[in-house]
This record gives sequence, C-alpha cells and structure tokens, in this order.
Amino acid sequence: MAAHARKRDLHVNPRLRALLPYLLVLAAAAVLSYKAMHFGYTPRGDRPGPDVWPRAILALMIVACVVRIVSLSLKGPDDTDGVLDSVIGDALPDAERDAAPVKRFPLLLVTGVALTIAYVALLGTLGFFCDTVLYIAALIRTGRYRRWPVIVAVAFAGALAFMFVFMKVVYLSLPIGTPPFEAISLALMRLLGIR
Amino acid sequence: MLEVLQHLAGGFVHVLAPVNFMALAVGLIVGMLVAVLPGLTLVMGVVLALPFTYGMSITPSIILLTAMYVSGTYGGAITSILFRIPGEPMDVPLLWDGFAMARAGDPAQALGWTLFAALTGGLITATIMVALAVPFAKVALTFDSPEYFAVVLFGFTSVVALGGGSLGNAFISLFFGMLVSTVGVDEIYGVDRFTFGSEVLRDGIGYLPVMVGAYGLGEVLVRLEQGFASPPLSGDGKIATRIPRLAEAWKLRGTFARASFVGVLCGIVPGAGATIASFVAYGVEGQYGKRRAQLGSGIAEGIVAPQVASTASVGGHMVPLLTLGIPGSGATAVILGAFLLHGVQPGPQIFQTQSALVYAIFASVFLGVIGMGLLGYFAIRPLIKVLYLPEAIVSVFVVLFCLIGAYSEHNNISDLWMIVVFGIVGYLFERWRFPIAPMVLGCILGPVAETSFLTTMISYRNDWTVFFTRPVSAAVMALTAIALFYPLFRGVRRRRRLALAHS
Repeated sequence: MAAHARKRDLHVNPRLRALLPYLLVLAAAAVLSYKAMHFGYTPRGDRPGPDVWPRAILALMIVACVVRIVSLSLKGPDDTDGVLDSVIGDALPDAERDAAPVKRFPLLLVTGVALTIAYVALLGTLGFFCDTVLYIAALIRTGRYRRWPVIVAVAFAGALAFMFVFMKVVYLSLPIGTPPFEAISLALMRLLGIR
Repeated sequence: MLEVLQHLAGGFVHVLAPVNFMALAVGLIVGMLVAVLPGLTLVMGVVLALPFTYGMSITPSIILLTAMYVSGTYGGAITSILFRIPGEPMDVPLLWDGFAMARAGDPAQALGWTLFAALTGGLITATIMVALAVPFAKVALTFDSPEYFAVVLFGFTSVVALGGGSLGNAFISLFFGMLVSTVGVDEIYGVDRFTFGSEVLRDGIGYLPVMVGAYGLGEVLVRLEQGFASPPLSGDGKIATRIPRLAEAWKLRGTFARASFVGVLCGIVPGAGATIASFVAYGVEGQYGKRRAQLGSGIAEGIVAPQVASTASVGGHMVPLLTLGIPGSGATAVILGAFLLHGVQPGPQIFQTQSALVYAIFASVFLGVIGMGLLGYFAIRPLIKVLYLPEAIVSVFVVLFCLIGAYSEHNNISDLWMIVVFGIVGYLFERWRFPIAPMVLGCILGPVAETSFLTTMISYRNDWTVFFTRPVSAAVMALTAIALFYPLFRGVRRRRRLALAHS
C-alpha cells in the first residue's frame, strides 16, 4: 500500500521533478552569493574587489534559474533549443526523431559510482595493483559482462599492464599500499624490474 | 605570402622529426580507434590522451591531439556506413545516403566516397587555415583588454547558442564552469574564494579534472546506467574501399565547394562545430544540389556533403584557437588545455613567440589528413575488429585512464576525488540535459574573461560603456547579441512552421 502511494507520488509530480535541478542550482547560487558578499578583504581605491566577478556570475546564474523555473511552471518543458538541437531536429526523419525511450538500470549506476568511490578511497591502503584488480573485475561484472575467466584475466593483465606502463615507462609513482598489500606491490615491482 | 610558405616548409621539416612524426602517427591511429570503439566519443578520446602529454614537449603534444581530432572526424563514418552505427552525432547524416548505398550492394563505393570527401575537405580546410591565420592574428594584435573581453564573451555566447541542449540549460552550464574557475585564492587580493576552509580547494580546481571527469567518467556512468546496451551490428559488413575516379569526383565539384564553405565557416564560429557543419551541408545539398530530389536514396552527394563539411570544420576551429585563444568545440578546448599545461597561451603573440610551433601544427594538419586517408584505406579491417570489443571492458579502461591521468598531474589522490565529483556532475548534466561543453569552456576561459574584465575596469576607471564605444569591441558585442538572439528567432520561426504544418 505504502509502496503504491510512493509510486503514485513519483508520477504525480513530473513538473516538480523537472524543476528539481533548477531549484538545487538556485539554492546553491543563493548560498554562494551570501558567501561572496562576505569575502574578507581590504578595498584598494576604486578597484573592483575579488567578489565582483563571482557575484556577477552568480547573479546571472540566479536569473537563468528563475527564468527556467518560471518558464517550466507556466509552459512546461518546452524551451528554446540551441541551434545544434534545432538543426538536428529539423533534419532527422520522423522515425529517428521519435526513437524509443532508453531503458535505464539505476542500480547499475549506483553500484558503479559506489565502486569508483571505494576504489579511490582504498587506493592508499590496498595499493594500485590489488585495488585495480578488484575494481576492474567488479566494474566489468557490474556492466553485465558475465564470462568470469575473461573478467579475471582482463583484471590481472590490465592492472599489470597499467603498473608496467605508468611505473616503468612513464616513471609515475603509483600508491603501493600499506602492509600486507604493500608486500604484493613490492614483489610485483621487483618482478617487473621497477625500482 | 612567400614568408608564410617558407614557415610552412619549416613546419613540414619539424613534423618529420622522429618524435613529432611518431606523435602524428599515434594520434591518427588512436583518433580513428576512438571514433570506432563503442562507447567512446572523439572528445573523450582527446581528453584521455591529454595526461599523456605532461611528459612530452609542447610540439608533439599538440600534434598528437590535433591528429586525433582530424582522424576522429573520419573514423565514425566507417561504422555509420557499414553497420548503421554513427560514431559521433556528426556521422548521422551519413546514415541516410552512406548506409543506403552500402545496403544497395556497394559499401566499397560508399566508403570510397567518404574517404575521398574527408581527404578533400581536410586538405581544403588546411589550406584555408594557413591563409586565414596570419591576417586573423594581425587584427588580433591590435586588441586591448576591452576587445579581448568582448571576444571571450562572443565565444561564450556562441558556444551556448549554437551548442546542444536548451538555451537556459546551456547558460547555467556556462555559469557553473565560470564559477568553478573562481574557486581558490584570488591572485590580486590573496583572498580565499569558495574554499570552505579546505586546503585542497585553496589551490583551485583545475580544468583537467573538470574535463576528464565530465567527459570521461560522466559519459561512462551514463552508458553504465543504460547497461552498456550497444545497438546490434547490422549490415553485411563487407570491408573494402573503392576510391572514386577523378572524373566522377569532378562531377560533384559544386557539392565539394558548398560543403567546404559550410565546414570552414562552421569551424570558425565558436560553438558551431562539425555536427552543425555536417547537418547544414546536407541541408544545403538538399536545397541546391543538382540531384536534390534523390537525396536519401544512396547517392554520392549525400555522403560527400556531410563528410567534407565535418572534416573541413577542423581547420576552421584551429583559426580562432591559435589566433585568439578561443576554442570553438570540446576537442579544441582540450587542445587549448594542452597549450596551457605547457605554459603557452595561444593568441596573436604566439605567431611571433612560437612561430615554429604554429607552423608545425599547420603542417601536421596537412600530413595528418593524408595519413588519415592512408590509414582509412589500408587499416580498415583491423579498425573494424575493435567494434566487437565488449563495451563493459572498454569502459573500465576508460575510467582507469581518467583516474590515473588525473593522478599523474600532481601525484595526489585528492585529484581523483575531483574526477569522481565532476564525473557525477557530468552524469547529472547529461541526465538533466545540461550541455557539458559550455561548462568546460567556462572553466578554461573564465579566468581570461575575469582578468580582461577587471583590467578594463581598472584601466578605464570602471566605465563599462567602453565595451560599446571602441569600434572593434562594439562590433564583437553586436555579434554577441546576434549569437544570443539567433536561436530565439530560429525557435519562434520553427514553432510557427510546425504549427502551420500541423494545421
């Protein structure tokens, strides 16, 4: 019952959903404008201060958001397109213009973002090699590729290739991690002739 | 003119040096691979190559990226014609006649026309680029800060007006990018701006994480949400190229001339890139071509017009980039980024201070176009093979290149967090239909705009009317107003036409 009500709410407010990005940007612009008004500095004659430029940008951003919010509230999502969209819209045959909506998998997206955040967060601890092997395998699997032998081979070969190219050829110092993962990185570095 | 030719000859010698020639060859191959690979776009490819240029000197760096840009405008045509998969939006018009010709049993002829068109468009644009650049630079040398501000403003406005997405969203994207460029310690007053007490933010947000995050990671996230669902490969995939005879090509000289003009013009105007050039050239052919009634049924004119125009736009783009420091497309924004990373600011002075570099770039476009032709003819079979790589695997490596590329600039993990943040921003922009190019341009050119605006205000005692009273600046401001109102005018006219059609 509750799930049904939630689903209905999502469908009831498509206009609110369309307004959401502009409301978010507007709120952020308002907060940043307040911050910009309070930059601490000593004025030098009639020279423009460090706040003038950011405040001008924020004012324009607020105007653009308000215009979009008013336009969306009054007319719906119909907005003036840039010339590119308008040219493409005119040129495309009707069948291609009215293409079927794209199927979306939000869970894949959330997993992908979470994996990338985890990869960056664990890079210092696991070291480049271990972290990258896990990340490659997990992200390929998240991307709906199912042949595990290929995934494992690509993960190990890919991480080793990156390590060799960036550490041995480009002389980039990639994180080696903390014990016990550090030992794995150091052993591989010795194996690849990386000093 | 003789002086220009002498410099250009020097440029050819410079490009033929082993390191530069290697950069050219690698750029051509990678650019074409990127255009063919599923899930990768041309701009994304150029962005991913950028971090590899840190350790290189500036000449091979710019040659590498420019070669990728040149060959990338052709690679997507192959998949459009053979498999009905446009590599880039600019390749969509090739579906109508290119794929139709291939389906009618002559894919080799369709590929041959495309290759010949790209080669011709490329050589024409390279010649025009060399001819226009010096006069452009001479005019630009007379500019003072009000003119610079007006030119940057024109660049911003035309990228917003001529780009994709809605006008309102494009402006918000531009302002967001400009705002990002203000983060950090102000250079004149030494004041923290929007740093929120963070040491990482005090150093400012570089345009590299913005570009790499939004174009690279953001695009992968968009494709991941769609389950990496690539369209099925259709068409019989016969792979061979038959170049048209000169007599056949001569019959289409009108098409070549019209499309080259459209391409170069769209290249010079910031924002009107290869995609607009390709569609407009196809539209012009539909209005003025001898066989306009047969357009769409698989005729050569429908292949030549969009391909000539999209390749011809490359040279056009290089003119404002080199002479004014204004990039007109995502790819040229990245090339500008490479210039800045090496401490060189493109603009009229570059013709005096770095003329060897400029003419090496010019020569590399000529050689790049020829190399692209050879590669397109001889390496088409292995190129097509990469189309069968699973997109999930390609995308993981794209993300890793993004992350390691950003890390390699300062060996700092905080740069990786920036990539993640701007990757999510890039995804949200795509999802909510905010174009990314204005944000990137705002981020790169924001500091230039701020400096020229503040310098003008200081020099002219806060008199903002100076932008409208100096002749050149006033003329550029008028162009800015036209660029701003043109989409509105076009939108009204289009709505009227649609209403009439419905009634």
